[in-house]
Amino acid sequence: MDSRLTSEQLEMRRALREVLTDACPPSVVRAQWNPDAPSVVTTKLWQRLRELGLFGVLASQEIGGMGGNEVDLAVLLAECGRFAVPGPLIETMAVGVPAAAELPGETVADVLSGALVVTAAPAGAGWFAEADTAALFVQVSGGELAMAEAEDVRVGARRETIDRSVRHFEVTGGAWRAIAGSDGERAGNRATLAVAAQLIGLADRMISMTVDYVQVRAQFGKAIGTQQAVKHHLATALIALEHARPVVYRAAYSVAFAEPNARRDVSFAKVYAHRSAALAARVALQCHGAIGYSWEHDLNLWMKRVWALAPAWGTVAAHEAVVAAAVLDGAPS
Amino acid sequence: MDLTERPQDARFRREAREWLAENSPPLPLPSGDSATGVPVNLEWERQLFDGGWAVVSWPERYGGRDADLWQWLIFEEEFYAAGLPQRVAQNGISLLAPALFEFGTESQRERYLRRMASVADIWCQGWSEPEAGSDLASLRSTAVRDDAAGGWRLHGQKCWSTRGAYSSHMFGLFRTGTQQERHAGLTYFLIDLRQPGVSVHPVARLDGDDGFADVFFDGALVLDEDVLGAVGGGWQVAMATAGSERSLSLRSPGRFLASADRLVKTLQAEPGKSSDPRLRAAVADSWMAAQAYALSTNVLVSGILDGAQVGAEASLSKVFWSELDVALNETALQVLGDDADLDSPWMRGYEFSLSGPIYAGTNEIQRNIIAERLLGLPRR
Ligand SMILES: Cc1cc2nc3c(=O)[nH]c(=O)nc-3n(C[C@H](O)[C@H](O)[C@H](O)COP(=O)(O)OP(=O)(O)OC[C@H]3O[C@@H](n4cnc5c(N)ncnc54)[C@H](O)[C@@H]3O)c2cc1C
Repeated sequence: MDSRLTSEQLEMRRALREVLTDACPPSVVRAQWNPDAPSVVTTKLWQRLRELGLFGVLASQEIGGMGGNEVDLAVLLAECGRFAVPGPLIETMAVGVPAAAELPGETVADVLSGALVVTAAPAGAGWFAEADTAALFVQVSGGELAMAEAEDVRVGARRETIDRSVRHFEVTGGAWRAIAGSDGERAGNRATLAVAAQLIGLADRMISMTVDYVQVRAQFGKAIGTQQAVKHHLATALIALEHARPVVYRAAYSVAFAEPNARRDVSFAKVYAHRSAALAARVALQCHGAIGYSWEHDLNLWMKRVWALAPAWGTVAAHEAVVAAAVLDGAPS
Repeated sequence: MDLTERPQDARFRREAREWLAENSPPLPLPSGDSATGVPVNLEWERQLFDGGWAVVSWPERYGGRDADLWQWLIFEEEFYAAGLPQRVAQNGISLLAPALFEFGTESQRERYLRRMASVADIWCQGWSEPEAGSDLASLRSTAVRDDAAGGWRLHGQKCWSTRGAYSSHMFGLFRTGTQQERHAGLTYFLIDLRQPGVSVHPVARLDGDDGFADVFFDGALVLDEDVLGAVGGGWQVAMATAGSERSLSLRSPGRFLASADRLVKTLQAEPGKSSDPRLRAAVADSWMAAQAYALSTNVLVSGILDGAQVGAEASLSKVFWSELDVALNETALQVLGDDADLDSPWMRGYEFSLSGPIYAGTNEIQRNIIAERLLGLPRR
């Protein structure tokens, strides 16, 4: 029994942090907010992450992946959350690459090399991230995954989400065909887990940027961080985060080892990660004061990512209901 | 991460469950904080000791079974899942014992640990005073040197001492230095309360039980062999105990996991309410909070078994479990609905849960500690 991350996982996280510190400063995140910005998948940031092997975390080493499991996925995506990395991380890492690996031929190699962009969404969403650049579309439901190619679908209007670095487009039509032998339930669990992992990273970073700020900003002749009201806000945010993080890694473990309660655990992770991140966002804004409410301030980028992830891959309410059903009705989870 | 249960743990769980099922007294036991309930609880706790289950994680020579922390957590889960109540021995075994293991002399351990586990001695904590609550370091009770007697003479008043009215012994902090020295002038004493110069006055708690005591000292004697740690080193010893008090030792996850389970069953048993979406959400929230506490405790325990010390992180746990306990019991009262006004076990639980954010260092003080020691914010 050991509930902590392994030294390899900590090392992997350190390596990613090093790359992101250099390749994903807030200015890079903000650049993706420009309505005329090219898709992130064409940028240097994405190129660096591809070279690092990030996208192939769940692909086996034989096909050029990292050979990692869902705990590794969560570790890496939490780190991406800390940097508010823009782009289709969930679609690529949690769903797209494993789905492509089920397909014959060179598909997965092309996805990993960047020759082919894959995207994914829950069945019935009606939109896909990066639909204008994607060549392969994957739909996730409880049964088998369904796929379509770009020429099979019609890409419509952009969906204006609160986080402007997120590029969603309406998608209609499509000759969807099942990917034989694929496990839609597991893909959905991975995607939800990927949301949760990013949320705890976002929370972590908002707390630390606020801790920095309140030691610099002075009012009444001293740093505002000496004031107990400010301290207590931040302490409350940290308590929530430190009790959400183990829930997320537990869920990752449940998915990795196909435990019977994986679905419940993943929903629980989404609920707790969301609450922790939403609280961290509020606390961060309150402790920044008006500067945090300004468009120019970077806090903005992190907060809006949290809000954008709230309904992603199942609303928080839907995941709360999954937990309630599992706990109260013994519903299969 | 490796969450596979060790084979010895599954065996241990089975053994504990079977023993508890066979030996558990008729439940519920009367309150372990009332004069009539204490003897009944003591009889049960002696049986627990005789069965070898009183202090599973202690060395065998003191009545334990050398179990590691994982097994201790398992035992706690089984204990509370069986519906058994908090123990009268609790303050001794979960607050004093860790300090004795860390700072005690061989003689102190020999004299006290086994008797504490078998409830031959019952210990209470003597820290708070009328003028010293959160600001514990300002306490004024004194210990004055008596060379002829080979020890110290105690003077002053301790208050809010849990089960002080039923205790034979107290572990307490007294001033051996000056008031100006604050922390540095304090010494930790192991005190026999059954002697001249001690008077104990029961004080009723919110629930009406005489669960508190005021303890007055007027020249009671403590021999040198009963100073725990160094003279003037009491604060350091007390803070080591505080770490245990705030996190897993005093409030193991098993207690909250069992309460959450009972809450789930309470809702399931209420016809017509078990489909109310608000109640369902609230009950599921309590279940999640108990699980989250257990999962974060597992991370803490993994670190401890690897040699890490529990420091200020204990404050994260303390706020979390105390707030979850309040929310859980509030939810139970919502589920009871029209009967929420009865003096029921859930109402008792609610009353007691409200003290959680106060004792073991108030949650405001914990948040100060978190902000200053974990987040590194300036003190002033
Ligand atoms: C059920 C129960 C059992 C107990 N058992 C024992 C026992 O066995 N032995 C023992 O010695 N004591 C015991 N206590 C006492 C307990 O340790 C004290 O209640 C606690 O330390 C707080 O002190 P106080 O009650 O004097 O409150 P105060 O210190 O007077 O605090 C009152 C309020 O002011 C706030 N406050 C005070 N200082 C600050 C600050 N610096 N910043 C922010 N807020 C502040 C507090 O958070 C609290 O909300 C017990 C208490 C309870 C409720």
